[in-house]
Amino acid sequence: VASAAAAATAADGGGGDSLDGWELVSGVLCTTDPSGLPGSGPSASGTSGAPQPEAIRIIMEQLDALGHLALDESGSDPVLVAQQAVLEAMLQVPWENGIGLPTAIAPDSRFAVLNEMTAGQEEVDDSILRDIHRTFPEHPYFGMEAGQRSLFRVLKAYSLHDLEVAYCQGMAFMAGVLLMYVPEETAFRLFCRLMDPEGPNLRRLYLPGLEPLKAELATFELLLMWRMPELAAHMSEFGLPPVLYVSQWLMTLFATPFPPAFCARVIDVLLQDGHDRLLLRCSYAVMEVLELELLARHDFEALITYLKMEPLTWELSRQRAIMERALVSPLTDADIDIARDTVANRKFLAAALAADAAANMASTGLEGAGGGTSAMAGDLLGSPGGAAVTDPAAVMHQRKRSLEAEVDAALALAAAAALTATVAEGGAICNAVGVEGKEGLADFGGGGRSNVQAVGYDTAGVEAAVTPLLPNAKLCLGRRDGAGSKMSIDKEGTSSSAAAAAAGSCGAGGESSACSGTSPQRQAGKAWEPEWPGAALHEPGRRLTGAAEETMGAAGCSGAARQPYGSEPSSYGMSPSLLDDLDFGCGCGATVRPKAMPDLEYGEYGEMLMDAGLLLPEVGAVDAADAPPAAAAAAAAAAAAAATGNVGAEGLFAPVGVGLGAGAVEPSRAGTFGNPGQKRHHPGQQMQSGTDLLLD
Amino acid sequence: MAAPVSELAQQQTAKLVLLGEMGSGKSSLVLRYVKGQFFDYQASTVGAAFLTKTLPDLNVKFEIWDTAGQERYHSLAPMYYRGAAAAIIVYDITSPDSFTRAKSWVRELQRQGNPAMIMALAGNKADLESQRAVSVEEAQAYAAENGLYYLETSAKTAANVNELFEEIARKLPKPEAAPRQVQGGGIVLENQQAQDRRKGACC
Repeated sequence: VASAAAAATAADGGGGDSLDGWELVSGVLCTTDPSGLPGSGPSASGTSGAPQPEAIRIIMEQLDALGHLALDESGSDPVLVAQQAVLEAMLQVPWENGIGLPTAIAPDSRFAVLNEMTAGQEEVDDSILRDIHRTFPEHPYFGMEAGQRSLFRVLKAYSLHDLEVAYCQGMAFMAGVLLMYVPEETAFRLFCRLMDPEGPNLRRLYLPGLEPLKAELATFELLLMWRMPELAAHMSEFGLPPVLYVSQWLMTLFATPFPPAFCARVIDVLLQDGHDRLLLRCSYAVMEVLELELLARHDFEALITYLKMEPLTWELSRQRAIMERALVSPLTDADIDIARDTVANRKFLAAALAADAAANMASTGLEGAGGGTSAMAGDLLGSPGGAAVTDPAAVMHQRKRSLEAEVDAALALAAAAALTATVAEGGAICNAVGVEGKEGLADFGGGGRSNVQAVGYDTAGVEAAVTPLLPNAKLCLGRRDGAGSKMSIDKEGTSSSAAAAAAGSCGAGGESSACSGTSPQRQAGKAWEPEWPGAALHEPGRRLTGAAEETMGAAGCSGAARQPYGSEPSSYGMSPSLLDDLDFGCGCGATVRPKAMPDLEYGEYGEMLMDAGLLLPEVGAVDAADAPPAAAAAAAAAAAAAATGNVGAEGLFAPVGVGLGAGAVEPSRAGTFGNPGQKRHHPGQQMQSGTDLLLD
Repeated sequence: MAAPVSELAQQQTAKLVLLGEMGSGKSSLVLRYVKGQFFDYQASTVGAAFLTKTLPDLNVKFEIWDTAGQERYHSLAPMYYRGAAAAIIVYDITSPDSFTRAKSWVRELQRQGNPAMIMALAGNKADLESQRAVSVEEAQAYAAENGLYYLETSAKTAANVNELFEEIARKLPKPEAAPRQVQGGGIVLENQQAQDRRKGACC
């Protein structure tokens, strides 16, 4: 039986990467063995160093036995074949027999130390204790006290290693699978590695609030709609959004309702890839293989039962086949990133829409749709003024209509932001688009005052400015109006939060305070002197310096720039704070939709998504106290939508040019979105058989 | 559509959701009720589990959603209780915390759920009398105050488990005993359900 650790080791070694991951996890005590050979990798006792001769001997034997590799199969990549062979050989290394991982735990190890801590941990410990008996209860090891104690220690150590995540149900299954293969300290390290923001970053799925999880589910749904529209429609028709089944897959890392060995395969690949796109690819692959069966079922119960029972029956060969599909998934990195961006934008937009609605509500019937929208706003914001929710159906209808416009509106906003970004002379303002990292920030404000003409996106001004470059934008703008969420302005500039929101959504009221995501923008109204249509002045320096970092999320920057854990650009927008939820990745993928991206039709279960906060997030549940960030979002939307007069660059929206390089700034990742097909990365191509390590 | 129209027309389908603190025994209650089984260590529920049970006598089919209990999963809960005709809020009689949590679920459902939702409060693990930490009186008073149907149950001994679910089934508002229509009552029912879903959505 090969272990997950073997897989990780082999994968890292075979892939030519170092095993530095161990040091990333907990540098103090993890040893790194550059040889990357099994048996010598994650050695807890620090005795690693020289490769284990026994392991090498076994591997060599296996390779010898293979003779020469079968390279003649149609189009096989010789490198892959070779890697496969080596990994298969590694599989034969028995871990338990003398060259296995140490089971003793060094008393001074981080693992041991964390396990000795008790103070302030009672609640978390209690949660863990309530689950350890209930994690793979039928498994012989976890039916015993010893197994449960190991599980407890791994989880407890992790809960102290990562205080924010601490313990979340679902993690126990992941830890449990690890413990089926490796001793507990190794399991702890692998666990840390999987959760590591520098690696697969699974921790985000467990963060309090589960926002990143929800975003991931929404992303999955989007990909499904995009790539398997028939199945997506079918699932939608019968009321089965991914949250009803995929959430379990993700949170247990496919340990339920799949055979644990499947989870082990997933772990292998995650450790090897060092990022988490596999989760979506794997979920997608599962849906692919189940597609026909699912399409043949025509009621909710049959579908959900099938989804929850069928995977458990999978034989190893089936598991292998599914993982292979995941490894050569049609979902490219770019696809996934685009979907994630879209979801992030949608969340942002939802907040902006809510603010719009609030604006309408606050202003005295500027719009014909005011009545319905008021209800919507009240509903969404839960604000005092929103007590007038009368007809839920009408509210839902409003929501749906808003949602229809949502993605297009996102495009429009991003487009407008793009325009803004090109107006670099005199000090860029909200041109954080495509800028990543702090060096980008340094460019903000630039000393120069520049005027942002804060125009609402439905003004003729923006339309005129946008149209020449972006034929689509006009359409979007038009549709946005049509959806009944037309901007309104509070001419008085009153300081109610609704008015602040209005100010934001009208584009003028962005004002620095609104971007901070805290209470101050309740005062935004007073700082805002609208000159409708279009010309509220605005000090860029104030907006984007100072609390610049805080501001970025709301200022229409690439979400990636604000990623708290920084390393994995594609998974941005996954941080816990509300402000981050408002990240608006304009300038990123969503600005250039792949041509195959269908219009988003949410239909029935759009509602369910909304309940989950996937479509109309927090705003649905916010108290008055939470309203400000929504308004901040609106302000950011406004900033994004704001366009200055002199639009320069042509071909701004050329597919690859979304980077909107404000001068010295590298377009960074934006380019990869421009051409989804351009950078196809399939983890499996590097080391396809990494997954096979855990067989038998 | 696959099922015969006549069957659907006569049977009432009711969505039932179980909420409550982790480890309070939600899954065990469901499993006892649906399958008559009990395991000392029932696997933790991650996300939610789905089971159905038909009560032929009452012509009710329960679609039961058993949810994850940890506080962290709270934000997923609306998706499960949306459109539910009934909810069982479970606490563990040996754990005051779980009772507190049950109360907060009740509040949430009162605020956000379907106003017509039937709510039951189940004090589970009644077999652990010696460790009792929540008195019957306290729970009863709370239930009365909030219009909840209240029972102490034990998934382990099966005490009151069937009673709990059956009483809920009886309390369900009966659909109009309309004669079967040409178009099929099943569709009517589905629409009703969909409407319920919508009603629950205004949060």
